[in-house]
Amino acid sequence: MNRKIIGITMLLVFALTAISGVALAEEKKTTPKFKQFHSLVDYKFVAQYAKMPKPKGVMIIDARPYKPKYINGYIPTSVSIPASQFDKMVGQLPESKDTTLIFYCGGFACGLSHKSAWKAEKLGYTNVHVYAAGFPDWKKNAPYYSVGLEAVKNMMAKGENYALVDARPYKKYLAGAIPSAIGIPEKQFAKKRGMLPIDKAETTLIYYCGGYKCALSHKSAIKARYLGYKKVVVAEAGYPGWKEMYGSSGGVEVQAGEVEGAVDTEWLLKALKENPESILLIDVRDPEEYAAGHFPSAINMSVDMVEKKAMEIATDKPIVFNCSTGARAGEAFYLFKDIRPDVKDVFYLEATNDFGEDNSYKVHPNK
Amino acid sequence: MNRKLITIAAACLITFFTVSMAFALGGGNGRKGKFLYRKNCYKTCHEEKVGGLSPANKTQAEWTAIFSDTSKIPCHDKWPAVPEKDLNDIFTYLHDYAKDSPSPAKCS
Repeated sequence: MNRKIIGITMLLVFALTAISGVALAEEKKTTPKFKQFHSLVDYKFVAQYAKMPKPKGVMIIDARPYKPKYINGYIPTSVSIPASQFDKMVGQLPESKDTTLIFYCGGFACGLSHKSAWKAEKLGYTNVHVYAAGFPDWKKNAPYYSVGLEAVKNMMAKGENYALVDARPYKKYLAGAIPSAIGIPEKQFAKKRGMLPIDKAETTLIYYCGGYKCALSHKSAIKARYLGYKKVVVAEAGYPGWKEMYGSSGGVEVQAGEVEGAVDTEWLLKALKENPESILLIDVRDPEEYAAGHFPSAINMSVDMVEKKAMEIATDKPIVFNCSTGARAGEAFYLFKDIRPDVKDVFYLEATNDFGEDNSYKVHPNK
Repeated sequence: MNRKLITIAAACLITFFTVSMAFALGGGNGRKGKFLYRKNCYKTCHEEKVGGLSPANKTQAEWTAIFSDTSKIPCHDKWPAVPEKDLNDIFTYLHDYAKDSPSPAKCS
């Protein structure tokens, strides 16, 4: 009997020791090596503010480095003030010290948000919190997150599996959009949802609209999640941000030719073959000449018309003027630059061109 | 004696400037010249005439002679201030598409 009791007791002691050992080990693993901030908040708390239209009196701050962390994914509406740059960027904090400040970074093991929160409190902010679970927790729970335009450009360059969706009204989309985007206005989401990719699991849907104050992309992103899309992000900077970062050319980098203002002929021919919509090709010959044959994607506007309507010519894509020998195209180029010196992506085709009635063409670069 | 010397020196200088001006003409940007001609000359002087004044109205030698002393061009007073470089671009355009040039100006 005694032996039994001793045996059971020993087993219990062993079990307890083992459990407490594991617990201690766990504790050791999760105990942060930084001074934790006193006010911690959870996903639910943050979610009530991380939405559009942006609630007043709140600022959510990402304390991680801007590159590569913030641009690759951040909590919607949050601003980037990396902890390492806090002192330099302190001017970006709101004037009112009553503003609710929520700092976050890369999860429980990350001390950057705590570090910044302490500093903010020291500056006099009275309503400071840390979302300690941070971005990993947000990604796990939220329907979508936001990304920087740099990340979008990277995805384009790598040819990743994505679908870029412009959620603005269709007229705005037509006036200029990020390359490769499809236009599905938020108001027509249900009607045009058939335009979205079939693959709901692997394709990343990237929504954008008219910039940080625009809620359309956020609304569409939530709707896309309801439709069953698993990977949905919002590029908050939108088309205005894209224009600012990569130019209104939509990111198309035109290769210049040897002569001033000329486009590289080989580059143009390749662009006309592979992506003719990426440039605005203006044939400056007379309408009769144009009617007899022209580049399939070219629009017709004589030099006189270019002079009259220069201010109306859309500049969201690179502009290339062409004619039959390069003379009038060159004239149109200098004329347009004279009227609109602010437009940078303007070129002309320095070549002699033969056009067929079926709009076939042969281009001979001038020497 | 002094007068003679001054006259000779002045003649030399005028000849030097005329010759150097003539030599400096050409080699400009004909494409830009076409636009500058349109902007500075055609619109101010030549548009009223039917068809206007085209480079092919004169020979290369005639254009060279005209541009060797631009102050004698009838329309000179109507011109806005045109920098020398632009003037040379205009000359290059007119000269390169003159009546006796390899490609006299038509409409292209």
